[in-house]
Amino acid sequence: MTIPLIKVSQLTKHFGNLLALDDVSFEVPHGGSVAIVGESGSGKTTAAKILVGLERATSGRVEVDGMDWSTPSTSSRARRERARYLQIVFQDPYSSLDPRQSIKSALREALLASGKPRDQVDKLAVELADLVALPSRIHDARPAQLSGGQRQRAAIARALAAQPKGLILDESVAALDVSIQAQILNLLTDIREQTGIAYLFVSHDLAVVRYFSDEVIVMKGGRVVESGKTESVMNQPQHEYTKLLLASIPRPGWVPGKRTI
Amino acid sequence: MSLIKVDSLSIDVLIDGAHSRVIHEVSFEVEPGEALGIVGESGSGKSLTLRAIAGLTPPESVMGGRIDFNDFDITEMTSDRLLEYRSSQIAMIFQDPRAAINPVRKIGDFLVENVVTNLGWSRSQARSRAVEVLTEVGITNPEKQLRAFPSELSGGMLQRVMIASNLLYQPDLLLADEPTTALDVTTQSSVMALIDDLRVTRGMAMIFVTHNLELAAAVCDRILVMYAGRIIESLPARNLHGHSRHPYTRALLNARPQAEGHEKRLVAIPGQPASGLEWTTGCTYASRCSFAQEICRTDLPEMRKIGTSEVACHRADDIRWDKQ
Amino acid sequence: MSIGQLALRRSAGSRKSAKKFGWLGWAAVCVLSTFAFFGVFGAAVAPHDPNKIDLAYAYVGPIPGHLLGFDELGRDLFSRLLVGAQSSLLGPFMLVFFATLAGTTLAVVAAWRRGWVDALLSTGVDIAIAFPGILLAIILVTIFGASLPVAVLALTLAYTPGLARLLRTSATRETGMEYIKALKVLGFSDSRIIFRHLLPNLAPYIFAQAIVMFGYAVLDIGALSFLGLGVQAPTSDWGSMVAAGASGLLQGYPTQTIAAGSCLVLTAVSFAIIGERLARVWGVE
Repeated sequence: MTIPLIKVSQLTKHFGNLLALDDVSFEVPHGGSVAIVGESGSGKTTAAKILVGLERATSGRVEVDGMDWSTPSTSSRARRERARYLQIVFQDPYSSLDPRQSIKSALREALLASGKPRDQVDKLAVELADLVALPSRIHDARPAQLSGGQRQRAAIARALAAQPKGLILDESVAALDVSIQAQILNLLTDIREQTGIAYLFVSHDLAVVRYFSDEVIVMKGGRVVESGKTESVMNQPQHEYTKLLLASIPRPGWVPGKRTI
Repeated sequence: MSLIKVDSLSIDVLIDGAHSRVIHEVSFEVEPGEALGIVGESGSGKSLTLRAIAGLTPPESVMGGRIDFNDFDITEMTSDRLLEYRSSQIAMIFQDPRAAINPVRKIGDFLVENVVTNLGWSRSQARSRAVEVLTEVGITNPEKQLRAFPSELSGGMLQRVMIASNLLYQPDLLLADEPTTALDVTTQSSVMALIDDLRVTRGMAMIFVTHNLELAAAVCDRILVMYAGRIIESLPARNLHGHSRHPYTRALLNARPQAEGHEKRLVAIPGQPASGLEWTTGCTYASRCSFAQEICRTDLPEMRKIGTSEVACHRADDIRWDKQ
Repeated sequence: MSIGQLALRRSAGSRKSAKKFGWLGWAAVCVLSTFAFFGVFGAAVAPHDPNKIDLAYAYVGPIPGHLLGFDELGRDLFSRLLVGAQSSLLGPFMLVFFATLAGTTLAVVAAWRRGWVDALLSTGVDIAIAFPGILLAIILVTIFGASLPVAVLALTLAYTPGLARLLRTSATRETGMEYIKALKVLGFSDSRIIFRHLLPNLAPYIFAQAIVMFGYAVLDIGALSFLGLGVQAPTSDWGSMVAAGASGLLQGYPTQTIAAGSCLVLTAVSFAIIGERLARVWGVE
């Protein structure tokens, strides 16, 4: 049996009295593209944060490539080691980069942190910027001078500096204009084809998930209500909530509030 | 007679001490009871246009053209008349209900404030009406909710309260600025259904501003597509899918993953959405348009009628979309 | 897109900043530079010995060579003002330095650790804020005796909690930004993120606060000196000069009080103006 990149078992998270995650289990295979779909309060972002060590699970087990990551690392060496497995790209393009840092220096810093030799980081930074199609004239620009789409490209490039095996996309395209969203989704598709990276795509947008991910996990109120191959979940949803979500996507002939499935 | 007639609207805003035009030559009409959708990306000027109709232009900006409400130019209204217009003839709902409702006052106070102070209702009359409208927007136990603070309600509930506040009186026109963008999809669906239902039963007209073309097409009669501060296409909502003629409208629709399709790659529009500041001598969209020719870069396309649509594109007749 | 974002897109930056700082801002900078110059070189450029007593000249008005005349002991007022700049500014400078250091440390620790550390620090700060600074100073002076360092220590303890509370708000907002989280996930150590990313981004807030605080510090140290709890005789100092001039004021010789008082007020007002203008330029209002 092959070891999955991410294996989460019986994850539970309490915030005070609030149960944010309730017995959540799922897997992301190496090179796979899995989506967690849900609305606000579903626990999808909490799950993502636990995976990258930004939150601590109350109970349950997180395994990454067979290693136990259930508790956040405390030593900086362990932190750097984990950085090589999972990276994250957040939602808000306006806060995802240090406002004082040029794109190039942000990339150089991330490359150095991942242990790349000092004499190569300049060359590698340009390669990363090319990979996400950031034109060279803006390599020295500060985030404030860039558009939302360009910032999100830079955030993706920075996350790829450590050549991680998986990328967590936490609503990474939700705040972008429709035309820019398509550009970034295409870019992510290309990167996956080139590098074989795995994606865990956290989103509320079922239309995008349907296009982007091979497998989908539907969450509601901290629980997984349905999961499986995207196609079968979208075409033959089993759970009432999945059906409701699907019926809520506006599309030609759609009438709000009425179930069309 | 049109309810709203916008004629050659232009708005110049103050940026770095100089006035720059961000809305160019915007003209359209809304009939009583009609639902008009204005769609576009960031910087298209859709929200500014909507706010101008409510008489809310940015500070120190200069407005040109006319906006007539029932044949009366709102820019020439006295402040008393403008107050009457805003408090009893139009209603407005915003993207973020939490930012539009005073957090330290109870829901009941918020609901009755307008009709008591501006329309001279008695408090008890206003409160009993408030209970009715809260029931109408699907809020259970309205008596209790009147005593709640905004922080005790979810975003979807607050947006319902926002809508209810506009139903105490009989507005002729509802101005909705991305009213469901901050809400979850299932909540969006039910809130939109509510707006649609109330609009139809009360015969209200609506101008609905959104970035979501599918949503606008589902709840509106007609769609205006804006780009860089101009209207580039106006068409019946039922024609949006399949019969739009402007390359930008087509590209926006194609950029979204199709609900039933299994495309390998999305058809992205290259470059950034332009704002109204970035106008050129020709068509502002030309730099991103795959159909652009020389004339598109030199001459500004005029709006012209083709079938049931009006389109501002030099190439609107000669692009054969069925072959794309 | 809002008008603000539109403006951001085309903003040239520098021209706008220059306009925001304004002539009043630059005038304040000129006043403070002059005072700072005398603070450093006051003793060297003073035309007369500031401590030379000649009772024959007590309360004599301006005569050639003595621009402002003499004080109650016949000392040259102008020279005393110039030399007094040093102790009048040095005290506030030390006060601002220590209070900023302590306040920033508390704020960053609270924002970074969150949870119980934050709760504990915040509660401590709330209690400390309720305690009047001058009273604390009087208690400390009673214990350690009156001197400038004791006055600085007392006011540092009084200033730190308020600053910590203000900066904690900014620091908490900044640590909540996604770039800070992304840097953690990238494997950077906490100290690197704090010193290389968090503090530089907080610097405008810290500096703007420190400059505004300097204005208050000048007045408060002046007030302690006026009460005899700060700078001790015979060292000249604007605060103690105001106090020493008080008896002259009653006898119809207001020059000393007015001159020293003006210096204090000018300094305080200049710092307030610069702090407010810088906050505007940096957009950290």
